[in-house]
Amino acid sequence: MNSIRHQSNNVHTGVVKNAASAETIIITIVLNNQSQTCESPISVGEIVHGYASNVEGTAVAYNRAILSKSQWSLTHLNDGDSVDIFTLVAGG
Amino acid sequence: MLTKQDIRRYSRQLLLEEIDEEGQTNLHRAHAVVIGLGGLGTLASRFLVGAGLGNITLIDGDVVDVSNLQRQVSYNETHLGDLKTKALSRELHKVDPNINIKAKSVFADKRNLQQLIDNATCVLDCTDSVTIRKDINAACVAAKKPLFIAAASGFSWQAINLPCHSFLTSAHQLTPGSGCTSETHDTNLANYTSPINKVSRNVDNPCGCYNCLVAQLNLTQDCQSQGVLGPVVGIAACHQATQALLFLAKRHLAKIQWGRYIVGNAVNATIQSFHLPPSPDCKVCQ
Repeated sequence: MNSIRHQSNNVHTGVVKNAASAETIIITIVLNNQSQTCESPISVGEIVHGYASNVEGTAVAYNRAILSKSQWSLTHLNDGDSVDIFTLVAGG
Repeated sequence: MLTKQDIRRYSRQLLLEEIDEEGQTNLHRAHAVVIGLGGLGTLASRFLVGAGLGNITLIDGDVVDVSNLQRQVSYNETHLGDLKTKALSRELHKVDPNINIKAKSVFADKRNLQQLIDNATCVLDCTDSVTIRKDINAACVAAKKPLFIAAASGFSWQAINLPCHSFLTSAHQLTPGSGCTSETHDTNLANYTSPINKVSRNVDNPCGCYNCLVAQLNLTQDCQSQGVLGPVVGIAACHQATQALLFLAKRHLAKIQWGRYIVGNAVNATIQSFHLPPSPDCKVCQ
């Protein structure tokens, strides 16, 4: 998962320049209650596939509302967004 | 009107304004249908009956197995090999001999669900597979029955309260007679001591159904393949019973959260809740 990194003191939301001098927008999101930085644009689907190896039973909440799987790739993250990834259970 | 015996029996919960005398009367008139009599269904039923529910239908085609005793708290070794419906009915009658129990020793499926939930004030989904859970959800949406879902696997427990479609859209669509039956218990959502025009639910923020949650997912997390700790199922069942009791006592005035998917983890001691919006492509509720 190259596009996500843990929050560190010297990485902040904003515009930075990479080695090729192309501008890259870095945003901070809250992924499962942990602050993370990632390169924008990035979709919820990319986050999920980077986070979970098997997404078959995986559910996603985007800004505290569950997002249907068909919307994962269509929903792009903004700075400050939260994403919660969890596994659905059905036993009883 | 509560008798002196009722007041003594339910004295602890009558002190709660979420129950009180009106709620206790409503509980006595209510009918809960519990589908699945495993770890969830046994405990949830016990709490419903203990709280003074008047009518309960127990649905399960299975028999008690020794592997059930670890988490299915109403059964013991004397019940091994018995139908779960019969075993649980006997135990619940010991709690309250006056409870009206209907035992349906069948596995719920698409063909029989509509009939099984027909007279319900609400339905509790205590089953253990996504397939039947989807069928129960579809039947409840079609029949406009409030549905209380709980599930557990490993150390995770999850739950959601799904309102009947009528009060998803507008409280005023609940008309006297809808869902009414000739039975003595009260299945008519409009026919309660609480007036329906005081619905506190936010109709501008509608919620989806179970199908909206799972339609495009392939769930494999069941107790048989993943294991489960008994008390974790118990947490889910206690939550489910609490939500159902609050609804059955005060119906549309119950201050419970509809359409919030609860995700609990017993190891991390965390509980989160997320809004479940309607999925635009849901074939069940849209």
